[in-house]
Amino acid sequence: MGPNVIDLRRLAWGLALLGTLGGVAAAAGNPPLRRDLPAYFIFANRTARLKNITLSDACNIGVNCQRPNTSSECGKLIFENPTLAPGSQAAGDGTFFSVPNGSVWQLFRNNFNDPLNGTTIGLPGMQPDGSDALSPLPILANVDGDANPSCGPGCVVDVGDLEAACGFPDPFPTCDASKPIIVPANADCSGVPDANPGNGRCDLAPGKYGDLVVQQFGKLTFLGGVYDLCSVQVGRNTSTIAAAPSTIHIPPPGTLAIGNESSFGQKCGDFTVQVKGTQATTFGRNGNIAMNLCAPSTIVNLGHNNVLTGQFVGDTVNANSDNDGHCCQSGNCTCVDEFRPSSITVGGTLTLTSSCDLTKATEVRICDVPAIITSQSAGEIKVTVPAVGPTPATCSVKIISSVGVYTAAATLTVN
Amino acid sequence: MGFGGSKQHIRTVAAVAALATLGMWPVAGGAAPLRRDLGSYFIFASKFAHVKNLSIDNACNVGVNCAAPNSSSKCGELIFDDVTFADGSQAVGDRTFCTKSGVVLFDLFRNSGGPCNNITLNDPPIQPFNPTPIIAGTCAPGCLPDVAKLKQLCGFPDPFPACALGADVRAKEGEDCIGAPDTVPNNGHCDLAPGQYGDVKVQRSAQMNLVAGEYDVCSFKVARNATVLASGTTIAIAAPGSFRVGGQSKVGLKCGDLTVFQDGTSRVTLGRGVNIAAKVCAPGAAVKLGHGNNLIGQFVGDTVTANRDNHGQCCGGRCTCIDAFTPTTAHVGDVISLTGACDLSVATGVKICGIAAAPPFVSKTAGEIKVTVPVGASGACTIEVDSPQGSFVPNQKLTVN
Repeated sequence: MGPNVIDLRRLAWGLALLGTLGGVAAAAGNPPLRRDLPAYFIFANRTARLKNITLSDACNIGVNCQRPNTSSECGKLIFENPTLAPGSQAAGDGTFFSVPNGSVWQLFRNNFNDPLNGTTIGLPGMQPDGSDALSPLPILANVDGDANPSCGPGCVVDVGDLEAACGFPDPFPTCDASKPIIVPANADCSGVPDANPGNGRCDLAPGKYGDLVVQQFGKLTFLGGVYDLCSVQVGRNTSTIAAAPSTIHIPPPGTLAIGNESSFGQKCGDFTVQVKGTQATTFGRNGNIAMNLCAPSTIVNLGHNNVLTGQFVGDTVNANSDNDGHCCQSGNCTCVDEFRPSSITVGGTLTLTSSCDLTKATEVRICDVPAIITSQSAGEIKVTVPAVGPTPATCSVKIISSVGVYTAAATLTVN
Repeated sequence: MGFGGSKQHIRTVAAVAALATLGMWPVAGGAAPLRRDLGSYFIFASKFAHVKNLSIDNACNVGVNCAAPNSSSKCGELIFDDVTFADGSQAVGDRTFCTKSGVVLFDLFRNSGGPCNNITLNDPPIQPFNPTPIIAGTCAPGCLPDVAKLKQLCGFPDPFPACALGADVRAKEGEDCIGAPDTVPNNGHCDLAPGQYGDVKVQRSAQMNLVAGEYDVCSFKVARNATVLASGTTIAIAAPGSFRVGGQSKVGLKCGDLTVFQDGTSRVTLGRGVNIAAKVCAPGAAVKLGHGNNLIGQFVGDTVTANRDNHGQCCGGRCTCIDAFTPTTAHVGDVISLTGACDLSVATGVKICGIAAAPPFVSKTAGEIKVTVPVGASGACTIEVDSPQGSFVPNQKLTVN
């Protein structure tokens, strides 16, 4: 058995949030395992093999199923030298560390006699190795409400639970194979209308299409909305962005593949990608990918040296070396950096922007009058300015979330 | 042409962009004004920037501060290839050039440059960059940056601390610190306490862990495949030292982890495939942002150049809020912890029962601030978290006994 390094590295991480000097006594107040799917950066039903992944935010990596026996691959979470940020949680019935000198924050596993191989645990738990027990299993509840758990004895997966947790539509949409799309290098869309021709990129309106192929050096803008595509094949050195939040449905037997040196999405909330089929989803090398990917029946191969932002859900999830992960904000509050214009008439559209997650906003008030939200994404909210009484009026702009009220320092003049 | 079109109304400016080269555009009624505070900038170059196909993934600015002294000078030039800048971002340069098609910008401020044809400008029109420079009083006519003023704006310590020449530190793969005490020995990493050091080198595949506080060093070099973790850390590099990061290395993980102040004029260099989360301020230096890198934070230099395939994210906006605080019952003088997923490092103060906590913070990081319950607070107290852009009041009250 290798060394169990239950250390005080929480201090080294600069947090010192517990005000304790660590050790087992700290475990009594440790957070319990988060079991809601949005808390997870990587969630695999059966198996995850993650080389030297870095996770920069306080979110989770987990394998859902219980190991049916110690020789089974199901129920295994296998790390090589991970670097998981403070506040994160790693959870797998059988969690292994095959390369020394990794670091995790909280660890939930049941094979506490297997070596940590020098991995440090930032927030040690009650078991002898510094982990906490992972019980009950599976992690995910019976979300679809049928008679079957999300993963039953013998590693029998009910994929419907994960599909429901991901928000798959039922029935899952079909695609239109008669409308394939090609995105050539530095050109408009080919095969379908381009919503904004002549700008050196394909601007794609929402709708039902066939196979989408982005060729090398192609540039694609999803204008926002729902896209039902037969498959998505993205070549090398490409750039795909979302002008507004975009959801991509890929029915069976369609696949998603993103080539090397490509970027797909820029930030949290840009893309939700739901893959219904069983063929592998594959990312290449040196890419920059921001999406919430849910492919619960497939193997998800996260590639090598990619920057991955969002969530990646599969039956099995594999990551080659040098991937960097960022999950999307898990908090519930929000605020506004700026709004514009600063002077507007009743009925006008006011745009509020923020680096905090504006999807958490439940209401916008102008002069304490609720405004109708016309669009809402992680970075921007648009509202219609309501009648606020006699004009001109100098109005406060407030944004309300489930946990509080933010009032912008600037005021809005309503004419 | 005013602001307010939805993203479904993305407008190209091919037909009109040439007119903007004359610098004669009025600021449209609803268009955003140029942000002129340094904190808004992901890239801020005094004289010149060329950023190839940089993608900026959130709302922040890229700018060249100085005005061009004449049409043949490189000073004042901001050069784009096929960049992709997120909504809310702003690009500003006296002479801004778009060299390729497929460019996506939000706001663009410029006075001249070649034609920016066939670009997607999501918040048209192009606006004039007037007055120059971006930050008043930081670049005199004739392209003369006021480096001292920029250092002050970055928050350089004054006087700038000396390093301990000869007190060199090395991190070697799988080993403790070499040349300095290791605060967490035998874990295969170099855990280095704040303090004065000489040249600091993180060798290939090694890991160095830095904590909150200031590291005054003669130089800081990170070799290939190495890792530097930090949290609330400042590295102050005395002249003529330099900051260099080799390929495939990781330096910092997220906003608020690391600030690098480089005094002097030595080049700042990032290699290929680097992941860095840092505010790097080197206003006298050429800053080379490398290739295929993931850049989080801020990069300030005399000139800034980026090779292809870099992705950028600036840190937090200027607002913040909290998700929770603990404990929910406290006494005067107790420390309470406020946590949030938005960047709490931009918080400027906390009021409890309307009384400002003093000092403003016991500690402050991106994810957590701690404050002391002030004298006079009593009963069911409202908590108010202030930032430059506004204030947040959580629904939950703090009971002060």
